[in-house]
Amino acid sequence: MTALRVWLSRLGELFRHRRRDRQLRDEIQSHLDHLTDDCLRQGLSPQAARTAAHRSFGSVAAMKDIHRHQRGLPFIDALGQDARFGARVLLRQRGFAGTAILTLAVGIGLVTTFFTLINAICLRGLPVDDPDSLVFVSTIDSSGAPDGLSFRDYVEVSRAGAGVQAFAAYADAPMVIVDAEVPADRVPGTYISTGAFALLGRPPVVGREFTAADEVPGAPRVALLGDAVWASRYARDPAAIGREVEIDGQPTTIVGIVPEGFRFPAQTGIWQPLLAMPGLAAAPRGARRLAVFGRLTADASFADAQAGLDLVSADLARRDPDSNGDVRLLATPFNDRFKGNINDPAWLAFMSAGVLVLLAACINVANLLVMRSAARARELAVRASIGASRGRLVRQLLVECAVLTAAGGALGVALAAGALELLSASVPAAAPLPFWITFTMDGRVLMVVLAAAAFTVLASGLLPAWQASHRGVIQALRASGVGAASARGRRLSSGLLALQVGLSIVLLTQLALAVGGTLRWRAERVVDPARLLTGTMTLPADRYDTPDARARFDEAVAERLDALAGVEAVTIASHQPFARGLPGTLAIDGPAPSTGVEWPPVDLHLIGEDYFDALDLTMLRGRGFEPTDGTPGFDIVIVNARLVDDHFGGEDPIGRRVRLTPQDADGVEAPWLTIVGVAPTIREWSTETGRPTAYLPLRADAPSSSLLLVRTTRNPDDLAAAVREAVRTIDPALPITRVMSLAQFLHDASWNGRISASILSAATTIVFGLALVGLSAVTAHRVLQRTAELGLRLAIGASRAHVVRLVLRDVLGRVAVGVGTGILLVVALSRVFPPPAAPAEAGLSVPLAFTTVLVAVASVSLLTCLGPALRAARIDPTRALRRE
Amino acid sequence: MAPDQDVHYGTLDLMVLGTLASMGPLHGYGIARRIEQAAAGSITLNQGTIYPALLRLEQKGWIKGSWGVSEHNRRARFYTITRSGRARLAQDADTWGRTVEMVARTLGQES
Repeated sequence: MTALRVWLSRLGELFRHRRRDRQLRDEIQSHLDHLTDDCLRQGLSPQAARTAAHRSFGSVAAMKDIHRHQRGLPFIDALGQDARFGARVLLRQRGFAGTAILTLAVGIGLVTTFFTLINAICLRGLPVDDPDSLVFVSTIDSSGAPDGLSFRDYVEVSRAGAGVQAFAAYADAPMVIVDAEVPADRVPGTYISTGAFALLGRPPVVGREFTAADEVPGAPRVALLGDAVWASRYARDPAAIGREVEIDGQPTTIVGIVPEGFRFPAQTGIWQPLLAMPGLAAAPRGARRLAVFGRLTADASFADAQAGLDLVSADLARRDPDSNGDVRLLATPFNDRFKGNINDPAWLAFMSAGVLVLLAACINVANLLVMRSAARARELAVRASIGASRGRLVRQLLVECAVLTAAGGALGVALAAGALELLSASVPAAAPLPFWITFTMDGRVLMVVLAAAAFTVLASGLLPAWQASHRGVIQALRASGVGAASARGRRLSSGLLALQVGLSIVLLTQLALAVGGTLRWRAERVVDPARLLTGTMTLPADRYDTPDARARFDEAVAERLDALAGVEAVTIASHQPFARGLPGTLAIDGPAPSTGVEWPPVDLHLIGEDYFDALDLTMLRGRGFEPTDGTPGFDIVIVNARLVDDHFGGEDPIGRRVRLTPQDADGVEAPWLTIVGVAPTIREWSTETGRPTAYLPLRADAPSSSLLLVRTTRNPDDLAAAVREAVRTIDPALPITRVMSLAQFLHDASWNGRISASILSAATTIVFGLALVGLSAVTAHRVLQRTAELGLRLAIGASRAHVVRLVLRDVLGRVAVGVGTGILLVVALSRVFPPPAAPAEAGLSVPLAFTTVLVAVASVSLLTCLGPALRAARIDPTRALRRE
Repeated sequence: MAPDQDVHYGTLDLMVLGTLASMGPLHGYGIARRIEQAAAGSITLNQGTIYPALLRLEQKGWIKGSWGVSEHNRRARFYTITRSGRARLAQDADTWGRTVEMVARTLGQES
């Protein structure tokens, strides 16, 4: 207790040194005055009295010293002294300090950026109240395929629900909002249960949430608006509450505004009551479109909730074995459903890349410190010889490293803030991230920055400090200036350098593989996206309620656009050509080579008749669609070459029959379709080979949301306005969104991939750059150390070429060790993270990429060393010898 | 760190506490003079050494200091013993007494 009190009092003193010094001085003066008074009273002369007083008091300076020492915490005082001294030393060596600080800034900045991303995507989760007591409910069938719940399942679950206070369900659907004053907008929408916002702890800021009265059949339709929609359509006017609008063609009243920035579940701007969802109550038990969550009661655990759900699963399986026989309800932590999985190899790789860069930066700084401490050997030796302990020297060097790290860390965090700003700005407006992913730094990021800084101080400072303080005093004092580096220091710096070169090789190999993949995709894609204009149309369900009505609209649009100047071809499709279509499964009538999969997956695209013409593709076999195709009696299909290769062994499939079952068919048997044509494979960005795809005539089942594709003779962007206008003349209330060239569309859609690629290349560039800086510094330093020796060699007749060879041999030996390390690391890493199985036609294999990288690293390293080596050859022998 | 060699380490703190307990609030000079008087010339005190001792006691919370005016009309810092200081003094005085007695007996037997 007393000890703690003393310590706290000492800690407090650190902050009032000056005041206490003044106080002590006053107290001593008062004491001396009293003494002098007494002596005067005894009859001494004033001069003698003062002298006697001082004699009586003892040494004022010594007492002050003891007092001060006892007052504060000497250790921290000394650290402050070291830091000030270190800062002065570093200010004198600006070149060295600048290089080290920049290096550390890059390392710490990159780690900060990476961790901020991981924090935003994998750790932070949704901004809801107490997310740990929220459970997400999903279903899983016997094959392990996860799915949502059907409305009927949801009703049973919310009725039983042991250990759960309340459940809520939601389903996303785009909604079109229009009113008398403001034109139509197509906004991401969500149908959501009454009470869901209260359950999440984010009730509306204005107006009210849905109530049970809103869910009574025949009740007036109501909606909640997101803050962004409120702002863009009604300028945040509170009078918007109670306003009559039309949503999806239905008169609806706005009853509330959801808190700013809360766009649950991802990017929603309009919410309607769950029961307003068309066809919801009538949907069969097998139609599992709802996402369901609930909040645990205070004393319940996940296991309780799961036990309750197990009972419901068993009950449903017994009552409805057809749809629920092998379906199990599953409770998972709410945020796990949304957050990225931190254990995903991609994230692990991402994090290791960040750590590798920091490590490379530390190695570089460690190397700089080793070389510098060699140059400072005399200073350290002098300090040691006048009594500085080894611990004191190590501390001094570590504190200097900490000063460097503090400066580098501050700069690094600033760099990271800039990088995150750029990254946030690069998110395409047409493909936004879920609302809860924001690239901002928080307390957790700060902790990681501090940990990274502490790691940096130890990783880059400890070895050099230990090594520097280890050197013998006599030896260092006797040795001359720069030549004083010990063999130990040299071994250390070459070891560090080798490690860095090795790390570069690992990252460069990864980069080469990634770049190779992208280039190959560019070269192989058969469709030129630059001359295609796309737009998305959503047909309101009330006015376009049958496939026929939708098909008629599509035809009208195609006809009108065809007439525009500069348009070569127009088509309408369910999906953009490079995207995965509707997932389905394939069955073949008659003999076919077995693929070993019971229900082989196939992508389904619905396309208009001019689809392949618009994409400028020629059928490989058979024919394209004709106007009669898709009408009763013409049950036909076109497949792509990948499907023929995979499932017909490359044989001619024309005239064969296949059955294509969409994943959401809910047990309805799909008809047999006859193959009439084979189209070229359009490969998706992320796959090596393209996916088996079947094209069905759009007319057979025109979807309510479709993609317009227009091939133009000029820049697609010039045509955008004309296309919008043309659609408006056919149906003025219909919004056409995301009108842009297909190239722009792909660019936006591939944001993820592009960002990953640029992050990988940034990390690689930095590590390799650091390695080269390190290599060049080590070479230059080596030349400096050997100046006298090389000068002597030149003086006694060595050729300049010989000197260059000597220096290169000296340094490249280390590079060779590094290359060896790199090879070992690549082999070890490929065991841990196996590269994606490369199919036979893949252009850039791992060994080829690896060889390329090795040759590149070796030649660039050679070039880097050549500069200092050539300078060595120009050493003036007389001057070099005189230096000694 | 050690006070004047003529004063045993730790005893100065005890003497300061004792002085404050019997005399009431005193300034540094007063305490030093009082200790010298009590010792009646048997120790010579470098009066400055009193200050580290005062700081030590203050840090432990056994005494409290505050500025006031002395009998000679000079500004001085007056120290007062606290309650925990009195408790400590009682305990230390007891220990001291027994130590002295024990040491004296040991020495007495040997001589």
